[in-house]
Amino acid sequence: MKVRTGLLLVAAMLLAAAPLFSHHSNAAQFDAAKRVTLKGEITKIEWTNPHAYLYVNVKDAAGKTTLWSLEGFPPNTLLRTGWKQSDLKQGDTITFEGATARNGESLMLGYEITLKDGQKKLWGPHQ
Amino acid sequence: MLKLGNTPVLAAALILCMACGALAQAPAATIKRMADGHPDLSGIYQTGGASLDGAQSNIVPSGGVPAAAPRGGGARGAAPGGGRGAAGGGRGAAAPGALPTQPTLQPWAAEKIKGYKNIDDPTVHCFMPGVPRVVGMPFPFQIVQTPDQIVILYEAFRTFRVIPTNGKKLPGDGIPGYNGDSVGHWEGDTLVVDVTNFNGKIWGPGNMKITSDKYHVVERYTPNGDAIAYEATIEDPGVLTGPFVYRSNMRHPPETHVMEYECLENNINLNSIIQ
Repeated sequence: MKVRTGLLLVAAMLLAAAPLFSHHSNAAQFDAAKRVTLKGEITKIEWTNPHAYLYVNVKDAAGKTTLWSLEGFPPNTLLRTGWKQSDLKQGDTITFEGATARNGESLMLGYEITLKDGQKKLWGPHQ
Repeated sequence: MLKLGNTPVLAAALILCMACGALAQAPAATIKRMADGHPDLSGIYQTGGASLDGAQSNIVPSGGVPAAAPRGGGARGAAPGGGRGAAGGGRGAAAPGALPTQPTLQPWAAEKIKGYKNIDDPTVHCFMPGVPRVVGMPFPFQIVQTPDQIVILYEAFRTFRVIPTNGKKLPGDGIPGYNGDSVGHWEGDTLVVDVTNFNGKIWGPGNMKITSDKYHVVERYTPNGDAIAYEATIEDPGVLTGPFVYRSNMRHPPETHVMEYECLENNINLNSIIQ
């Protein structure tokens, strides 16, 4: 049992140190240092490959609206990690956290989404 | 990228590999077998990813080598180092166990990939990753076994492979491809697959962001309890300074099936990839 526990610990250490997978390099596209949390209304949901996308209108303090897109896991992975398509509906207000795109677009790699009922779910891989 | 230069990670990997070496000795009697006596590898497997290791897990980057790479075990006389062909032993080559786990490129190749960006990765454009990169993708794959052949259906990049195990090559093989031509045979309880005839358009594991048509892979699938210890020995004379070995552990994911993954469906983010 001790060996097994040790193995688990070592495996956990290794996994923690490993890089993230996407079908492209997330680090090349998204800046983990520019991590933001925003709130807005879903305008479109795409359960597509190679990535699912959520489009969310976010209004700032000055009243200006910006359309953000949230890249996530592919749909297969989302389903396997507990998502249902019915979890998201156009018009829902959600809070979302992620790393923003290096090129300045209103695009982010979504980490976690807080649904309208307060439930938190992983949308994409953490960097 | 994976920082293997990180000392704690290396130490942890060493401990893990040593421990896995002991665990990999699956008693022959516990191996599920086909009527012909060979191990029955049928089933759905995965080597990593959020749907296998949890939300915070990470897996192979573009072309990367998995961090947790257990040493393939040699169940019932199937020594991990005894692959067929130059890449897997024989012809005087070093056994996989003695080989480096990272590729070392020849100077011209290292120079060539210096300027490569993420956008240069064939998989970013949805091309098939090839062997063995496809094994490290965070998606399940299904092994279907018959006495004469093994078929592997990978969810990632709609890849499939047909591997004859009856000593015959498939008719029509010979046109170079992303996955090459596979021929399998059994060495004890280890399935050994010799893969040749690649098209030189894929990336290899790790920092091997270049391959040639001499790229050659010898895979070894060894039952390890409920899992399969996977080992791929890679050589590419003219590109690498010598062969290296890539290891992974194929585990059963929570109940699932291989699903559709049409990468070209909505590959809209190419413009924002700037590195």
